[in-house]
Amino acid sequence: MKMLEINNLQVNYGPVIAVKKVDLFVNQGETVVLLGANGAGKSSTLLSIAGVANKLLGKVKFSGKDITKFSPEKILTLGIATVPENRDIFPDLSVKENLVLGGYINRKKNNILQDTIEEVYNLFPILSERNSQVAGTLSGGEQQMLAIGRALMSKPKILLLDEPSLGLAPTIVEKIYEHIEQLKKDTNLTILLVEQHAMKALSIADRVYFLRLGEIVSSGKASDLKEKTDFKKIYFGE
Amino acid sequence: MFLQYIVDVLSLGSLYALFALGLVLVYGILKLVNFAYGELVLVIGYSIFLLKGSPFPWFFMAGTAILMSILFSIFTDYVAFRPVREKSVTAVLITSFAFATLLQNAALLLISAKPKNVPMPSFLSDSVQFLGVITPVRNLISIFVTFLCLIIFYQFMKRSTLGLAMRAAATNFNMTRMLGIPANLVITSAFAMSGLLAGIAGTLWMSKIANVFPGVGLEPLLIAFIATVIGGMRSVHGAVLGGFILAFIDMSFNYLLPQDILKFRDVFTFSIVILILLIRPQGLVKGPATGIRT
Repeated sequence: MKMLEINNLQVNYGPVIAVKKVDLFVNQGETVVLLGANGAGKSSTLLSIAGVANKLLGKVKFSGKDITKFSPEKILTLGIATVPENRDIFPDLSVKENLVLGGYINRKKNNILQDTIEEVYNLFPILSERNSQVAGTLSGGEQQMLAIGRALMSKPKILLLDEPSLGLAPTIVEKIYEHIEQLKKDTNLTILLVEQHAMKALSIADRVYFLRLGEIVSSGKASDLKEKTDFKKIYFGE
Repeated sequence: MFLQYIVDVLSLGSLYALFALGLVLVYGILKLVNFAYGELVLVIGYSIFLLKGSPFPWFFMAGTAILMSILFSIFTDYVAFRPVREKSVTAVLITSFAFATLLQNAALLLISAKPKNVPMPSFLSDSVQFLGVITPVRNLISIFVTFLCLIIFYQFMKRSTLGLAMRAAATNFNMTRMLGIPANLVITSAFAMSGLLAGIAGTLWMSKIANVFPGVGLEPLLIAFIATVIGGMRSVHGAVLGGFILAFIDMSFNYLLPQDILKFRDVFTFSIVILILLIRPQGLVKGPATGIRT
């Protein structure tokens, strides 16, 4: 069943067209990866699903419903949570406070809020140790975990994950991906992942789309593409 | 003498700090200065003036005036900010000035250009004497009310979910929305709290000047603006600190300058302000790592 579907998406920032034409879909329970070089339009695609980028053309559908014109807050309540590229945790708030805000839509249901915080702490035990620490003082890897944990607080149906490997040391990237795999196993969460780090992303993906200069240039099963695809062409052009 | 000076600085500074805090609350979230902010004092003054002669006790009048201030602050958002918020900084600058002018002219047209007396309970002007300090009761009330407001404000921003959401929105508005926190709720709350703080400060201000006229909002706006610029526009601590520093500068010149130069006090005050900004253009307190409005 198609959970998320994007048709003919075009995104622009003023005169600059960031996404020319993107068609993709994500089935329930799948992990789909959007690969591409810097500036290919990956993040813009993700942000337009989340409702914060300017959509010029095209349609975004979630569970069959047209959500193209929905506000970011409305989109979150439907079950789409975003971990943006720069993690965008709130540096002046504590770890706990960041998580509490992530669970904003459940703020009135205290027991759900508490349980979800427990779940996040189980997934990322380091966050529970840092509970009352100001988030800005966390290491890069910990901030990434916090950003993911914060997104999970809304109990999403699909997680939009933008470059979790960005700016992190290889061993930390390894760890983050272990956590993501654990998360998939535990919850069967649907994930749309954006990465530059192709090999890492392919290792957890079911299907892949390649994005180049704002357009999808190829797609397929992750297991097939891993061997066949000429990555150089995707990243550096012909 | 020294204690007298401290009390004077604190009582003036507490007013300045409240005014500045109300202005910076909206700025922090929208990254836009509300130039109609001073008109909340006009609303306060005329509300109490219009209730004069009503059978209600003074505290009820003041409460109604503060409520009006909150409503007008929210109203400012609806007429001057919301329609053009997405468009450009210049547009909002103009609309908020326009709204201020509109209110001033409404007062001019419907009431009078002449200052109108705003009734105040007489005990506020009574002098008290302690430890060699002679000061009107209203100064002590200003200090007390302000510190009470600051404590409640800080607790609210620290403990309540809405307070946390407002702090988060001041750092990264879009991210806050992506967590499902409605943009309009955060913005309306900011305007409402801005109106409440300006309302309380405005009432205390009225107890000092005791009359209201169409241009009454200019001075509080200027005070709030300069205090936030000194303190740092991105931080609520900065606004409070800036308010007290501005009062400290003002009051020091009151004490130091000879009588015939005193009327040029603002020249000296602004020279100091320029000096502070030359050394620390970003203001004294560095706020959270926020971006500027794009």
